Amino acid sequence: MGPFAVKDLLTHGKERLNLSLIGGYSGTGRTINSPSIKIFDMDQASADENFGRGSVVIITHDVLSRCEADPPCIVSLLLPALSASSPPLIVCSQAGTIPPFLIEFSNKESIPLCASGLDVFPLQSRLIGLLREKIENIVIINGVLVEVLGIGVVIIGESGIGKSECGLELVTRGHKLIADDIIEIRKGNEGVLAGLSMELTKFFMEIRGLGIINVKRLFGVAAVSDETTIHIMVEFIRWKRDAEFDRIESEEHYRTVMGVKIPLIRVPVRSGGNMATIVEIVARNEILRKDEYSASRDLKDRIFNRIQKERPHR
Amino acid sequence: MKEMKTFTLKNELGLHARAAAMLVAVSSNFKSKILFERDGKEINGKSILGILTLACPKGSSITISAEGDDAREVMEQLGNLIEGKFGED
Repeated sequence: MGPFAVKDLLTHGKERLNLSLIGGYSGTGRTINSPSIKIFDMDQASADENFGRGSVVIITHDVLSRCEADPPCIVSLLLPALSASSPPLIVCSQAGTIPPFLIEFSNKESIPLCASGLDVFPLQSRLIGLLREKIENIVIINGVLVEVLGIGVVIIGESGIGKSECGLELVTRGHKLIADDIIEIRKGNEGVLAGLSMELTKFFMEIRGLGIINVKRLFGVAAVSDETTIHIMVEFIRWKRDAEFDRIESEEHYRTVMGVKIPLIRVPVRSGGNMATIVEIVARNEILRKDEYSASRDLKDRIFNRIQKERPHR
Repeated sequence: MKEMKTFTLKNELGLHARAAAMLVAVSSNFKSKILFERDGKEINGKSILGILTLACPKGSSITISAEGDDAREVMEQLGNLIEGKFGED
């Protein structure tokens, strides 16, 4: 957790935010301390002296066209407000051409100036998401989070594949639901990932055919938990006849979340297959793996030894 | 095919449960991958709970993107629902 340098934002967010740096190059060492974003509003600029202090500022296409139509605005409103708040970064949304006065200003004040091809709202949303990840170490992912035998398991997969139904089945078997659909993941100091539910929809689930249910009300407090450490991910994949899955051991896959590698197990979903049992086994296997036991290695060793023994002596 | 558009919620109640259910009912009929974006959150457009966590009031903006062969149709239908204030007066 901590401040995030503008140059790092440019590397991490270049593609997603569609950014290109066009001015204020000497200021890219500036740091962003908060994930709040200010959208410059011409009508409030003069009223608010502390306009967006320390936050990234977005200047919309509308503001730029208004400046173009009414140049005195630039000198009397836009530049003084920007100068006073000295933002770590200015981004022009839905950028066509950036007026030279703004580039000049950013160079003079050493405030990095970027153009983004995105519209103001997605730009704002994605900036908040990225800054929250880098400054507060929080990301949000889609999936179901359950705690099975003390192991935090995230179930992911395309919508309608049966993640929630599997989570519900696990709850009926005495395991705990933490979050359905939206999981907030926070990275702790030791590189441990904690998974939580969004406060608003905590312990609610959507089950097709039933609608919305409240798991805590239905099953009691023992069936839910506020938070769990995330140990492993299971991805449900639609079963295809010719898709290849390893029959001896699951291949080693990982999903990296905020720099932390989480083992990912990919399992095909077939009708009739009981996914809750699979997830339980994944959790049990994870417990064994922590004890450094691997069933596939154990079996391979046994077979190897037997073959060695049975080999005809010459 | 990829489509992306920002909508402003004009109906009095904002993105309430019934409205979210209507959006999901439309999204779920299409193959495209649909995402709703707001305030740093990126939510699967086929998930009611997800859309509800966005808690969009009247006047707020939401960006919807769709990726897939039927992206254009789904955007059109979702847009009609939002612009049509979900059938509210």
